[in-house]
Amino acid sequence: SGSFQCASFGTESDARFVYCASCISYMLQDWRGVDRSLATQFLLSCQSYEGGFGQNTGREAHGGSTFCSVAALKLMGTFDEVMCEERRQRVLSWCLRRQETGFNGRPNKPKDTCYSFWVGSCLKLLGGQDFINKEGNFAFLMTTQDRYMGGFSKWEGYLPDPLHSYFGLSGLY
Amino acid sequence: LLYTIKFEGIMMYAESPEWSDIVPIPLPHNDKDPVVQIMYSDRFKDVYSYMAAIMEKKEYSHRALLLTNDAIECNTANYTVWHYRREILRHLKMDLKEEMEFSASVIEEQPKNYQVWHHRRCLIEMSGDHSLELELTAESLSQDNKNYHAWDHRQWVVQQYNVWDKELEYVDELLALDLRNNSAWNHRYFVIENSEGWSSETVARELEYAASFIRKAPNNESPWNYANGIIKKNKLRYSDFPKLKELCTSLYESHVPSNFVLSTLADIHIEAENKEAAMEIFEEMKEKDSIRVNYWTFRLQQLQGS
Repeated sequence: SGSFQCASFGTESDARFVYCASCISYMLQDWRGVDRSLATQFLLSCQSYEGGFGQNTGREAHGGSTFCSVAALKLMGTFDEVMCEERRQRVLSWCLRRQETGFNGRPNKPKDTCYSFWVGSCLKLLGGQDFINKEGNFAFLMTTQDRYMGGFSKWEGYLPDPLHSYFGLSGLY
Repeated sequence: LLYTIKFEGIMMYAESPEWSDIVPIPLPHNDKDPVVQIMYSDRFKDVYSYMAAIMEKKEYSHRALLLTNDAIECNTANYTVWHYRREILRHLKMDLKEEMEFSASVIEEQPKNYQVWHHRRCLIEMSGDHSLELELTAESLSQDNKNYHAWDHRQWVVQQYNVWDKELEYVDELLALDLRNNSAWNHRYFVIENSEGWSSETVARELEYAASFIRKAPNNESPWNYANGIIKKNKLRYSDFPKLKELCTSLYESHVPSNFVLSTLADIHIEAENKEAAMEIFEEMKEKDSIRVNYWTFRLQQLQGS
């Protein structure tokens, strides 16, 4: 199908691992492990009617998989060729709608620290970083910072963890 | 070094007579210079040192199956153990009914774990029995109606085994409970796309379906994404479906505060090459949707320049 699993004996396959495979191949400058054409077609099939990308064909558009798909297309070098202006506008505007102050990962879901990274950096990849309201994002991220322990949690008042701390920091850029 | 400790009443493998034939393989660790040393509990170390030994030995026995129960309990995300468990089930030619129950109980406890859902998918592929899945996913979704794994599993079952017939009704039920459930809207699109397809009758019907929910909550993003998505994904024209424009216009004229009314109207005007009307809306959106002021300014400039 063009997608990737994460272990040779067989696991689930989705956009996350296409992204991982793309990162690895890009770092090694060796694409023999990735059929870029097929992987590209798979990722495009994941762009839903909403404009964002799901983890698989037909699945709900999601901030995490949208990042994985756009980033993978960029790394593979096929983004410009296949993401016509129309497709780009649809994913761009879907991503922009994720912002309230912070970002959510799907419509009508609560905002969460980590989407400042997933959606924020996706917007940067799409050339839309200037459309982000930086003050709102900053203000939200500050509320999810833990006063006593440091680090960030997904929501205000929750315990911090490394994932949200990493993505919270990244999201501040 | 073996020491006999009963940890919370659970016997250590290290002191179990049934396991005395096995030499445990200790977890790798670096005494001298650990970077980020995970603080494994004694129980964890005990279970996994035996798990490693059994996998090394390629023993696919009943006691190995029970060992994987413990290993899964200690780290439900260990996909190597889950895979090994499937190999045991294969070797022992076990009836999968109990295993389905086991997977259902792990799903109940950890509904966002990737490995258990994949395991269940494998079981279904092995047995061909998908009869419990609509109920299982419905149960999971009754606790978290946006659980991405549950939706993924339901969509896989429905598509793989061609069981489309109850799905639109299921979406109706969920939207009656929460019309903002974006996952349900996505499922609706998926079902129609893969069963009846987007004939112009279906498009008209579904646009009206979306409209009915828009009227109830004009600021709900989901039916707007659905309606606009049907048009855009199928490369249709707004002009072929004038009722949508009528809806937007009437909501706009009633001063219903909704950025989706505005942005949809703008797109409709752009398609109709009515630049002035679109530009007026973008001007309005700079104020009304101020978070995205830079974007609406850009859209405005784009039209001014063209």
